[in-house]
Amino acid sequence: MRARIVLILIALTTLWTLVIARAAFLQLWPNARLKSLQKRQFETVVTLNPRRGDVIDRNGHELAVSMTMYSLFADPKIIEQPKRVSKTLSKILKIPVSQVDDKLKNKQKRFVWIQRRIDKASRDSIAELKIRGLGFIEESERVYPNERLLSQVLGFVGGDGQGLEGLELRYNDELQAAQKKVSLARDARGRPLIVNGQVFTQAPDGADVQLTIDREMQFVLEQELSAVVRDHQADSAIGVVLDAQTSEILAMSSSPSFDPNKASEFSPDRRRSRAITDAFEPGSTMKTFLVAGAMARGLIQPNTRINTEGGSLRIGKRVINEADAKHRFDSLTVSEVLAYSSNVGAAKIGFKLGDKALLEILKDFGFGERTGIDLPGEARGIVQGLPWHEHLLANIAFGHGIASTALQVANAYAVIANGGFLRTPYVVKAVRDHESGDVIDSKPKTLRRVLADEHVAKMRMMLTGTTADGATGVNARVPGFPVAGKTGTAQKVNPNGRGYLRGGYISSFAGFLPANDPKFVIYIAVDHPRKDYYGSAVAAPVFSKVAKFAVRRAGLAPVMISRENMVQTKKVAARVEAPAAAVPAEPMGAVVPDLAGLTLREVMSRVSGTGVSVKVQGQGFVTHTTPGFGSKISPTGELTVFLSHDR
Amino acid sequence: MKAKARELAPFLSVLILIATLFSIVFCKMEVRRMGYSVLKLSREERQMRDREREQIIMLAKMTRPERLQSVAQNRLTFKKPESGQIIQMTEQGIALRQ
Repeated sequence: MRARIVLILIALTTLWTLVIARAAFLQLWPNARLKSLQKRQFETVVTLNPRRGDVIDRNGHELAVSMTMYSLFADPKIIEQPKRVSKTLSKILKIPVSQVDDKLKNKQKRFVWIQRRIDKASRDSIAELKIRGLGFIEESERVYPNERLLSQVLGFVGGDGQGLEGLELRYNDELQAAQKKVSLARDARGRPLIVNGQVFTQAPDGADVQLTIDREMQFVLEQELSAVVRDHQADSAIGVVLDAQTSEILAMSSSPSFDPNKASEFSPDRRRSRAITDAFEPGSTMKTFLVAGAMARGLIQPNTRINTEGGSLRIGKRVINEADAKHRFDSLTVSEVLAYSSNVGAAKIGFKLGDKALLEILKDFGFGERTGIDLPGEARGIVQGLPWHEHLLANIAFGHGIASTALQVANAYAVIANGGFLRTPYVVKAVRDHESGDVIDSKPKTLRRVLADEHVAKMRMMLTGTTADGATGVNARVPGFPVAGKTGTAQKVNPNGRGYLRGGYISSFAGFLPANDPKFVIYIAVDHPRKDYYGSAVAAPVFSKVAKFAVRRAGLAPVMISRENMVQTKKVAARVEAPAAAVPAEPMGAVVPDLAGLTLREVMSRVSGTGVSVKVQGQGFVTHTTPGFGSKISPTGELTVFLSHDR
Repeated sequence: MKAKARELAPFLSVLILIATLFSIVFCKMEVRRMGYSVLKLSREERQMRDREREQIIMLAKMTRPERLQSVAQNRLTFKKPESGQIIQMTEQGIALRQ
């Protein structure tokens, strides 16, 4: 009996030893197959969707931002009562029942999108229903809160979040961080376990991009461009505002534009950044560079007299006339050639230079090559190779027979504004990486010196003459500030055939201010205006409006103060507070005056300083007041003003 | 006394061993429990971040220049200033019409 017990004990001990040995082998001995099995059973992979970086303006205003949205998918095979589910979903998502029903009908499919990018409220409503076979995937949605503002520069992203145009394309790698996958242990219920303090909910955000753009200036530019297109029935208009010293782009746009939130609804014509993609014949704005180059070569001086042949010059079979038929001058100084925009004078200077020198000048100012701006799709313009026959040389001298982008012209004017240096224009001020904390700041990049100081000073003086009384650029004036610039009226190339479009012009104005210490370079071009077509009548007033805003925004002190634009302090107050029209100007006294029909602003100006406090009900124009018209009111009393949009 | 202590020693040793094991298990459970709390808070934090972004976007939309202009003109009945109505106050104490 005892022997049997010992035998059983030995057998059990052996068995246990084997079990323990096997357990030790499984636990302690490295085994790839077991490791992968364990990984599959107890580990989960969490995908961290990166948020695309923000695009902000120079003052930190958001221009393009991303937010989390939810995309709803379904597995039709396991959805019960698909018709009822379709009805419920269509109600929440506000889409037709048939649209959902069609997707759920096909039981063979295991994955269909029901709706991409729905908001959190809709997601929560659907999640509460706990319908088997429905699921959500988090996605990032790009939002452009300013809608059309700066749309052509910003560009837009595609459905998968990839930049397709503009800055979104150029800076796609910086804005879009790589998707991260984190492997974590999970518990029996599949919940991820935090190991060693690993924080896995922080997505690796893309870098933020700060622009040199000033949102407010951009808005004013866009408003003025839209207005000039509307008022002059033009095809389009382009505007560029540069920092005169650094060539930073402060505003750049073309009208009509598009809304990047629904980019697919607009034609590619509206989506491209015309200021850098469209090359056109710039016209007389090019005379500036011709004169600057000729002066730098010692061929002319501001007071050199040019024979302008009574306003008409025959070259072979062709005749060059002045743009303005009234300009029939026998001779003009070089300054006057610019001031009156003489084509004949420019052609004569072109002949003095010759084709080789003029080509060199144009290349020096950056024509015929890309400016190097940090945006995609820039055109290099067209500068024909040598030799140029006489007629072409004359044409190029006054800005025909050559094509340039708006940015090229603006940047070439910046050469004169900044003291003679050609710089690379740029639109991105800084890139901030969230992961590393690195900030990459953009710095002005000088390409070459084009003009010496003395020639810069002379050019500024001559260009200021174009906005003097009687000169072509008088409409570009800004009260208090000397403006240097040049008008341009170029014939428009026929887009559907040879030669020029009959009655088609591109009206432009390029300039900078204050001329004595330039801060802003502004270029405006209006394509095919149908009411007026001279640059002086169409583009120069737009320049003036944008420039007025720019100097006010920068808080620049005026340097030219004349009686005309000066007002005395008391008059200022009266002017600011004066009601618009037919409003009695009596002040608020002990009796409530008749305020009916006034705006709130007018009421406030009347009440101001009386001590009476005003309570406002509604919006629009005053309908009645409490106390009413003619009632007595104490100096510290309360006046309730009722407003309505119906007068 | 010594004899009694010697008698209790094995019992105490086993007790300490069991207590230690329980403590380890307790600590592990506590770590796990805290892990779940962190997980919950992380999710809440993320929701808050998303909400903050929504608010930022909302604010950006509300304060876009075009909307402000529209509200000023249509709801508050403001008018665009005409030429000469904008007065720029200069450092020299002179008011300049723009």
